[in-house]
Amino acid sequence: MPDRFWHQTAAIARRDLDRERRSGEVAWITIPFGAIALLLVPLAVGINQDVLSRIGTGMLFVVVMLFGVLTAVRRTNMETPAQRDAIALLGVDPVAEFAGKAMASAVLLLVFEVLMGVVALTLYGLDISEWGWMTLVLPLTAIGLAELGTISGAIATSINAGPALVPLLVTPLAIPLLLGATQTVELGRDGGNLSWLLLMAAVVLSLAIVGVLTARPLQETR
Amino acid sequence: MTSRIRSHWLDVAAAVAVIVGFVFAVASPRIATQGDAARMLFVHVPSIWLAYLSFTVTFIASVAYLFTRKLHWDLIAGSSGEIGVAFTSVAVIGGMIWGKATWNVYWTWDARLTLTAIMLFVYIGYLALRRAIPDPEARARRSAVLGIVGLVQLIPVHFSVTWWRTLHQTNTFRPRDIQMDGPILAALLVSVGAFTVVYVALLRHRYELARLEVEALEGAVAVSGPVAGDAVTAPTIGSGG
Amino acid sequence: MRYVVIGYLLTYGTLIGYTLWLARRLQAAHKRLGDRT
Repeated sequence: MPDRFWHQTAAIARRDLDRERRSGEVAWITIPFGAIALLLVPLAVGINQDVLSRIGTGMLFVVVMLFGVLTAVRRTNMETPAQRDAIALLGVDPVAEFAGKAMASAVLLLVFEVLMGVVALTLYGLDISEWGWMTLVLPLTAIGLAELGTISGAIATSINAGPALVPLLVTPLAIPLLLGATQTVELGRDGGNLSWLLLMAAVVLSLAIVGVLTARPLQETR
Repeated sequence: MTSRIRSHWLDVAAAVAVIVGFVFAVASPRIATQGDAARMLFVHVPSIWLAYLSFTVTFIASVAYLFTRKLHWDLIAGSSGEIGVAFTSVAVIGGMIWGKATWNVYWTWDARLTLTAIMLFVYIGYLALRRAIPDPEARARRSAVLGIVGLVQLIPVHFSVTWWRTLHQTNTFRPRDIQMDGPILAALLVSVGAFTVVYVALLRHRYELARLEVEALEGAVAVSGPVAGDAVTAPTIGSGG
Repeated sequence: MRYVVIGYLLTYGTLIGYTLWLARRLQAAHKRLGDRT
């Protein structure tokens, strides 16, 4: 039984990533859009290096929150009611569907984060040696945002305003991830960032539980 | 007929409660440590209480809907959500006014105020979702999930914002600094009670409106009046029946 | 002090405003259903 679950999860994740690879929406649209957003800020607030160094990490995560969530509403992630019916009739476990989609989104988000990180390092003149904690923070953020995006995407599926609605639904609830990420990196171990890391882990876990519990009601959604 | 009298009484009670609450608020003695600005206590705290109450009711009704699939639970959830957004807006604006009166700044990133603002956005999203779905059953299912996810995820939001502010402490509201002796506590409790009665009265009417809207929708779907096909009648076979 | 007055006006004003808005929508809904019958 658990075997079949993971099999389905992997199949769905693979399918989503394949579709994204073919369409290239994240690669050609979301990533450039995020990069431009990072470019915009210094144009607006001025190129004073002190200011930019101070806000750089924060801006990275703001862009990740706001634009990364677009990966959850990418066209290749949106299914028509007919497609969803087909999946349900095939006997796909709704929890596996949630897990698979979240995993695919998390992978895409992680790629997005790393690339945005490179852009931020460059444009804001940041010191990468201060970014050690990113190795933990980036995956946690990616998974948490992916979970939120998948749940919200399922809530808003097949609604005309869906792609516009999902970012609105996700962003306020993603604030613990934003705060956790920025505080972990900025405080460092001596500043007591372990509690922030634990908070992020708790959020990722609670979202996983919520995703699992709401998977079946959402699969039945017309 | 009797139910109409009953709801009439609730409205009257709500109106009376509001007046009584107002009287208590203005008649209460001046709060020594904070002066007149602290009178905002009697409108801001009840508004926040009601915001939390409304969204808790939305949460409970959402859970109830998912378990029973009875539409009236969703209508309660949605009604409470709309009232909640109204009270949360009042709470945020009241907090801003209190801040301006106390520290001459409209926004101080006080943890509680920031959290209230975030909560406002979560439930604006909830209302936006409901607006986007015309079909009552579909709307019910999706809103129920959001109603649950929203409240549950506000817990980590609460912790994260509170921790964040303890690190960067500047101006915070400390209602506990206000001496909660007799008359002030009484005025506060009366205000909270008054707002609660108002909430129940508003909820009842908003639920009625939601009910009517669903009925209107079902009526619109039903065919009424003559149709061209009426001219064609089915042939009777044998005794017909 | 003037801010407190504004605060109270906004609070009670919103309460009254929302109530009136709700009443108007209820009236319209009753009318719509009344027309149907």
